Amino acid sequence: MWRWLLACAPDPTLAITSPTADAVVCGEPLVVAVAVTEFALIPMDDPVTPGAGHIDLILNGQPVMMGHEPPFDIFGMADGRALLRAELVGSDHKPLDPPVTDEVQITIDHTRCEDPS
Amino acid sequence: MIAWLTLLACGGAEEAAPTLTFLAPTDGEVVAAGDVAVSLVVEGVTLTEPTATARLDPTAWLPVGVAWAHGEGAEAGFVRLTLDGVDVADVGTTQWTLTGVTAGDHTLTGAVLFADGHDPEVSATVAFTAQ
Repeated sequence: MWRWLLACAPDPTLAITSPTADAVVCGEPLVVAVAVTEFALIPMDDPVTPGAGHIDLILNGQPVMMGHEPPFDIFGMADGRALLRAELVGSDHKPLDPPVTDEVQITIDHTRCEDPS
Repeated sequence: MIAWLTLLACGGAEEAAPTLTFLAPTDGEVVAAGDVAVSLVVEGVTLTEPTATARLDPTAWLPVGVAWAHGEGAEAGFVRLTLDGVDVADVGTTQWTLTGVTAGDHTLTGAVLFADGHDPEVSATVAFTAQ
C-alpha cells in the first residue's frame, strides 16, 4: 500500500491571495497575487519539468494572461461581476493532473475610483 | 494494481467541454430596470466577435479564429443572448449591458454558437426581475 503513496509527490497548491473573494475592486491594473507551494514557477519557454511550470489567469472562462512572476497585472477589465481563476500548468501549457486551480468571484466597479472633484 | 491505485490517487485528466453560466444577473435576482449588466462565464470556447456571415449562414465555413497560445483546441465562438424569447445580441465577450430593459419579470438565455455555425447546444437561462 505504501508504494503507491510514495509514487505521488506532494500535491502542488495554488491560492489567489488578492483580490479576495467577493471583493469590489476598481482602477487599473487589477493586481492578482497568488501563493504557490510544491511547484516551481519557471519561464514559459523552459523545458518541461515535472513539478514546474507557470500560471494561467482566466477571467470569466477566457484566458487573459500567463506568467511565472506574480503578482500579475490585468488591464482593461470592464465593470461587472467577474470570475477570476488561476491555474498551474506545465511548460507544455497543459494543466496538471489533477488540475490545480483557485478562483474568486469579484466585482469590478471603476466608479469607486473616480475622482469626486 | 499499483499503477491503478496510483492513477486513482493522483487523479486523471478530463476533456474540456463548452460550458456557459451566468454570473449576472443571477436566477431570481432583482435589478434596476433600464441598463442590466450581464456577466457570463464561458469555458471551452474561445470567444470572438461574431461575424455577419456566421449569423446569417449557419453552414458557412469560417476560420477557427485565434487559437490560444496554450492550444487546447477550443473552437472560436460567440454567445447569443435572448431576452424573453427575442434575440437581443450576439456577443464575443463575457460582459455585456442590456439596455432598455422594462420593469417586470424577464427570462434571459445565453447560447453558445461556434463561429463555423455549428451549434454545440450549450445554453443557460436565468429569470430575473427588473423594477
